[in-house]
Amino acid sequence: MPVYDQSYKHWEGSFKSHTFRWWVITKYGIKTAFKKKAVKVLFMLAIVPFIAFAVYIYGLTHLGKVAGFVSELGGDTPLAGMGGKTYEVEVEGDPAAFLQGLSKEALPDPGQGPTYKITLPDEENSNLILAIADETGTKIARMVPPGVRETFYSRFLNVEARYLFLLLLVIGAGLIAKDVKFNALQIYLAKPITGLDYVVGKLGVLLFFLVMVTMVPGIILFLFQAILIGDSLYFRHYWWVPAAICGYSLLIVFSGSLVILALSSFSRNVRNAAAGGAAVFWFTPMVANILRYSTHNDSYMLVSLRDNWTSVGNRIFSMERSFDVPWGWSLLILLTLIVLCAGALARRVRGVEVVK
Amino acid sequence: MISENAKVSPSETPIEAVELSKWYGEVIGINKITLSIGPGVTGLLGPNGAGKTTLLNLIMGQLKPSQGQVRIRGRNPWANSSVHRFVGYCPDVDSFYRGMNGAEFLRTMLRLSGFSSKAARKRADAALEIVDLVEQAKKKIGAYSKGMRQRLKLAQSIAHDPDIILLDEPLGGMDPLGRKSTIDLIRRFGDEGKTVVVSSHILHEIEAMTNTIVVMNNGKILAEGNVHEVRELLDQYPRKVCITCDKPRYLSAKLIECEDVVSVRFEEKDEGLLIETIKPDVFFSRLPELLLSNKIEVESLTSPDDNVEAVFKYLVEEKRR
Repeated sequence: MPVYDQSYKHWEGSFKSHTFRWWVITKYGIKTAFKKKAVKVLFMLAIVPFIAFAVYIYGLTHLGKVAGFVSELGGDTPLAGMGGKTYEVEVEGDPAAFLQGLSKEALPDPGQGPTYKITLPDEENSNLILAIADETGTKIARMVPPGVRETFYSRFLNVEARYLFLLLLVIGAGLIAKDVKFNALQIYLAKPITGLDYVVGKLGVLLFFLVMVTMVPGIILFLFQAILIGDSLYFRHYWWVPAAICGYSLLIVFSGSLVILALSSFSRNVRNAAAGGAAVFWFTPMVANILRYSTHNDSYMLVSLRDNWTSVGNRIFSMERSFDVPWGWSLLILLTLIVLCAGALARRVRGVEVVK
Repeated sequence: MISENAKVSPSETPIEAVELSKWYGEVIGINKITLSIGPGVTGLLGPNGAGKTTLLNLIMGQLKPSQGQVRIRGRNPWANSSVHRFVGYCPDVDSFYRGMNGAEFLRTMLRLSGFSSKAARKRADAALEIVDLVEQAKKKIGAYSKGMRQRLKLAQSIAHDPDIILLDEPLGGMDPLGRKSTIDLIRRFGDEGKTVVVSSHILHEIEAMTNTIVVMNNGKILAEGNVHEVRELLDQYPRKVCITCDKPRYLSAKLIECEDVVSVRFEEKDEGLLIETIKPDVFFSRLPELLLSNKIEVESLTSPDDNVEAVFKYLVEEKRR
């Protein structure tokens, strides 16, 4: 019997599933990133717009209370007389009968029809309007709840995108470049993980931070607004907004992360990778704008990563185009970019760099 | 892809290469290598650029063969990360984050190998003990000496309990004590039945670990088998010995009388002697007595041929004949 059979003792335990092995890389990356002062500062700064937008929502929903508070202090405020919840209601049938059913305080300007702005007291909700419509034999064709609209969330995400760029550079630029510099890739890939596990692990680090400053606060703002209004109509009317927040956030987070990871994989120097990222995120919009204004051709905006995001984002949030190019082109460019970056990563993430 | 929990069959040859070639553009890395490596320690000898690292990278699946095939326990390692479950690799270059401490690094590597957090902690501690780095476990890797980093690299290659271990120049940068304990450790792995492949360009390092060697040069295998057979081949070839002493002329007169000495030449400033001998064993056993009886003080004694370069040179010349 060979020596091997006689003495070698194998590890008898079972191994953890391969599926989540990338998490080891993500966990270590998150831990390391949090050790950086710049990341902590940026992360805190990214919370400021969230707080500001939340305060805005609170103020808007409590206009009456704010006005009352100001008057109690003896001040004069343009908010005086405001307050309550204003619904935008489109009435079908006999609007006059419907309007008669409303209380004096809620009565809108009858000349507005067929879409009326009806302000109800804070304790009431859309059920009252539906009940009145029922009683008067009219039908509500459309009813828009009070509170912020979809554009608000789109604006919030665009503000957060500024911090997203900075976080991408500070965290993302070194993620692969440092491994290349320290030859850590060779060790990583000598373990039972694939190149894909490695890339997913690194991507996970960026997704964690970027989702925390885009998607998560966006959804929290939506829920905050819905709770403050206290009307399920908000959920029913804007049911698609959380999906839009998630979709738009993931689009910018995913494409931005892949771009910076691909750049990081091409360099051993973190600064070079960061400079490349800065060029893509800030220089391309500048170039696009210069070309656009000098040639009066909106197509040049397709050169800019940021403007392609905005173009697709406007479509996702059902907003008007910000420049005269179909959003589908922007989406196609973003998808192409994602494929190219993924291809570059597949080529570059190797245990041994082959120099021909 | 096989399951990582699948047991390794000992009946399959640990490492097998058939007509294996790798070229980088027009540069040949290794050329039509066919070999089979079994349990125990095998020394991979060759000068820098011989193709040792390329061969190890091909075995690890980190390079794709240009031609031929390589198998680890019957499995193709290329794009098959599951084979890494039972293979440990210690590359020749520094390969870690200097910001991590030794224990953290090992635990991370073990988690990547599929061990639970608890098991990873246990195994990392055990591996640190084996390579004698327990006291430095909490120190940042950046503060490690070259020898300590080498030992840590070795620890990560054995921590997950592989039965095939590939070590690329594992003794580089180690102090004599470190070398000794690493050599002992490698021998122990071999005795335990693991398949250990150690690459080096220093013959005596390999000799201290194993008798089985594979000699490579210019991407080809020049010889394989028992180190003593290679040594014997070398002994048929005149060996150079360089002696610097206080009485070089006197010593040369004494040496030229010996049958095994082929030639004696004076080096610069008449202080050094370059001697060629066809029986180095006889020569070296006689030398101390000769020096003592004639009260010759020796400043230095080197054997420029007693290195792997000489073996390669000889083997290359043999092949040409």
